[in-house]
Amino acid sequence: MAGRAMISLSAARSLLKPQNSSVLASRFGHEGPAFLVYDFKKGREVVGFGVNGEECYADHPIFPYPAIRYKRIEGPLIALKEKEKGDWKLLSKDEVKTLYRASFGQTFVEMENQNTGRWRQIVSQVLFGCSLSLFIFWLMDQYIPRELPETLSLEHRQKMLKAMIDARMEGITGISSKWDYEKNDWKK
Amino acid sequence: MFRQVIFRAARSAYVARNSTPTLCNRSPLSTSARLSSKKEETDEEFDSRYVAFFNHPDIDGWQIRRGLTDLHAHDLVPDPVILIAVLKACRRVNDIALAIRCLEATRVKCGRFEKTIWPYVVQEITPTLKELGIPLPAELGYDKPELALRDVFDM
Repeated sequence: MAGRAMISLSAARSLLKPQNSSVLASRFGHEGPAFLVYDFKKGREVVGFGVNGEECYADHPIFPYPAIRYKRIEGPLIALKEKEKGDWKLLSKDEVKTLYRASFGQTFVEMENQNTGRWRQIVSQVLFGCSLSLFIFWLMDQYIPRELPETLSLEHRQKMLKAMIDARMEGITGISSKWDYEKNDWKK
Repeated sequence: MFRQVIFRAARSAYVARNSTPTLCNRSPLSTSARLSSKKEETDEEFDSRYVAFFNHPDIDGWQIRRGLTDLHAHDLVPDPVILIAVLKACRRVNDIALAIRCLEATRVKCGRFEKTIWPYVVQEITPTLKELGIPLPAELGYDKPELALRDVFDM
């Protein structure tokens, strides 16, 4: 997930100009993902150490407290931040949620639910592997001849044995040591 | 390694500003290395160390996050006593988002014992939550995914 966050940051930096966030807002139902902002740190309050001290935002279950806030404190958020200094019981639920989303991009549950559809990809890859091996089996079945080579026939193997004995191969511990050359038979 | 960096930063910060709260249980100014004579810390000592850290009157948001990150790295669910100190510290620095985030992190830390530990934690911290006006993540609907984020690889 950290890798994804890093990629998102570098992708964000590689953007030549900021995109129109209103288009994305309509598409995602909120202010749009953080990585669209190419000057990511600019104007954001540095609030902590984060993952490694770099002032960047990343949602990470192991480091849940990023170094900067997710959003700039500007516009209506300024008034809300002032209200936050008062009694928290006066804050409505929506205001609390807005304040949360100003500090953090994703909740823990959203972080944890990022890869819930990944099992489909894994199953498809496994099934692809199975079908590939079945295809190779079919190919072998089609194009590899069924009859055994001549060298595997009993007659040929007996001829080879005879040749080995005649050549006195492995005469001390091996096959010829078991052959009695005087009686022309196996040693009893 | 991260903790070492934290502790090193904490030590230098301590030297620089004496009013900064510290998590070290030995004097940060001592130079003698006690390599094998480390005393085992009891749970009560651990809790009181963190409570003292979060109850420090001069604590700021940076320090709270440092303490919380450090606490998050331990293999434990923080005691409700610590959580109450954290919530009060968040109140002092006026950061309700941080308070909710730390509640979420605690729920995740319960792991597979969530059904037994988390209700106990909630029961213990509820008076503080009521007093400060902090909603539980579940009351905000944060027990289910609310928003979707676009995949970077689809961009």
